[in-house]
Amino acid sequence: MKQVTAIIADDEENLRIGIKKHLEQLWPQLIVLGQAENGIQALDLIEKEKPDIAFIDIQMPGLTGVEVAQKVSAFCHVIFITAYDQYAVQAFESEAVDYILKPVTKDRLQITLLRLKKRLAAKGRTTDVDEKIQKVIQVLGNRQAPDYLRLVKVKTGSDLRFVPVSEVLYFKAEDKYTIVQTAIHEFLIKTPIKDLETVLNPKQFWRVHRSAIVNIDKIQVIKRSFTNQMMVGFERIDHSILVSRSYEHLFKQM
Amino acid sequence: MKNSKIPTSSLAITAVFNTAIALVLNFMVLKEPQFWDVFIISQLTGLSICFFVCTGMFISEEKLKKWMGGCIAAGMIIGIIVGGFLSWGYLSFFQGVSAGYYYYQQVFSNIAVFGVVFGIPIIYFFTAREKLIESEKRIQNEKIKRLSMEKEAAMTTLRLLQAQIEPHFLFNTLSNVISLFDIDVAKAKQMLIDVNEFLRISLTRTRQEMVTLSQELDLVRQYLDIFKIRMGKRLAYKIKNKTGRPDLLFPPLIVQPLVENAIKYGLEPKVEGGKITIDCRIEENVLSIEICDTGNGLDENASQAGIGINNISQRLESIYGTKAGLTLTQNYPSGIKAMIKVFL
Repeated sequence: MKQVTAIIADDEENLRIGIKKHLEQLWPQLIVLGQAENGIQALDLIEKEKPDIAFIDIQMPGLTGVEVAQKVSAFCHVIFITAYDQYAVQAFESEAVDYILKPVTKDRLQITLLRLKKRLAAKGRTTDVDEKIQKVIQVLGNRQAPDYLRLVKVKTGSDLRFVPVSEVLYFKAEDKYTIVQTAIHEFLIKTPIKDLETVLNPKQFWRVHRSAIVNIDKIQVIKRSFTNQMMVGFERIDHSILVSRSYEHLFKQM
Repeated sequence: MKNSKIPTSSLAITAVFNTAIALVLNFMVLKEPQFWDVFIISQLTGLSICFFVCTGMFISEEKLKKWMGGCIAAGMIIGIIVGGFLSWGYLSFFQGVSAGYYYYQQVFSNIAVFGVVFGIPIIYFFTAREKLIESEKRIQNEKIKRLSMEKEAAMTTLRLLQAQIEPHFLFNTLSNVISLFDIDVAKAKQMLIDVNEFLRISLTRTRQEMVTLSQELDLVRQYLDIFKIRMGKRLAYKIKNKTGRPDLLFPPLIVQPLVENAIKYGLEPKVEGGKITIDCRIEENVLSIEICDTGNGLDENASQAGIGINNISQRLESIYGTKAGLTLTQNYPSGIKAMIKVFL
């Protein structure tokens, strides 16, 4: 019978050693061809050594375990290692993909290995498992979809600075630029208002004018000018932002 | 100046006033009542004053910022002149009254008295109404603000509790300890002691308002020691406290989460790892704490790292108001430099 081979990929050395020790005890015939300490190494190692099994940590520098699996799951049986990730575990469970939870215990590893041996014995696993893994990858990939903008990248002189959006009072279009106003500073960025509107959390940032988005947490006063224009004022700065009539309804629900 | 800038509600209220004035003048003051003439002149004058006073206020709000009183007075005078001219025009062309200069003077002087006598109380009424609406809005806003601040405070405490023992950190660390028992028992013991100490301090600390800066740095050291065992050669760190004040108070969970961010988004995802440098000093009564890492920087994962940063900056603001700030800049050649400044 052909010897079964494996590789271990985890960025933490102690954990690789730990898994290797467990494997030596639980499955002495298994040959560990090598270890990788980041995603890029793992991919190289798998492509070079073509192991039957790859134990891959999900969170690794370079490439994540999921990214590595995406490229190799067609010809190599992937077992994910994860510390704590309810979301991932749910996905693994529902697709019956193999995984190991950290801290890795002998009993838990034994169960995984028994299941794995059965799968390896049965032919034609590739398409089936590959499909399942692709499904899991999709689930995990979706979760990494971009979140709302939380830091605005601005240039001050030669420095690149990151301003937390929670500090921003408002964004206002001015010629080709957008003013980012905080209580103390005023920065200029090139992102237009309409692009900002799509990436900011709409619960916190309201478009109140063709040329302005305000942080409603920072509004101190809503007033009407004598000419009946609605305006919003902010703490610590004396100029206010005009609210277009078409956006006034936003404030009427308050 | 476009007409649309003048609120229709102000014009409507003015028209009602004008009608009332016309009725009073017609039936109580004038000897030969001619209601429609009085009514039309009253409207012409009143609306003209209203229009120009509104315009004056608009200019003072938008362009001049100050000179509110001057703009109102100017608006009123122009309003009276224009109103007088319109009334004179109405009387000469529609009613066939002789249109001489002398007659204009007569109409004008009547209207000036009329405008001043009725205009000032009316303007006063409008301004008061405006102020009332504004102050009501302000009160309402403050109520909303207070409620949301209370909610925010509760949420922050909750978030802090959750953030403090990040499950991923805990499980990864514990699985390291378990592995280490097979490799190096002494190291495993040391790591368990570090974890134990870290958990004990951070759990009690979540409920404290202030700790000393050196205590906070001890916690950070403990945290980094744990990661040193986990990441091995990929992590190096240096903590320098040059404040010379061991009893200096500082809120907990400001420095540690920044270090956590530096590891999580800067160094852990970087293949070759890097270095964290923490530097604290006081210069001219300003405490500055600089946390530099040579990691991946914030281009990727920025939105996730940003949750922590936003929390920290809000926390600083709620504790110190304007007296403290957090700035995040790019570190050279790579990574992030976080700088906390507090006016003592």
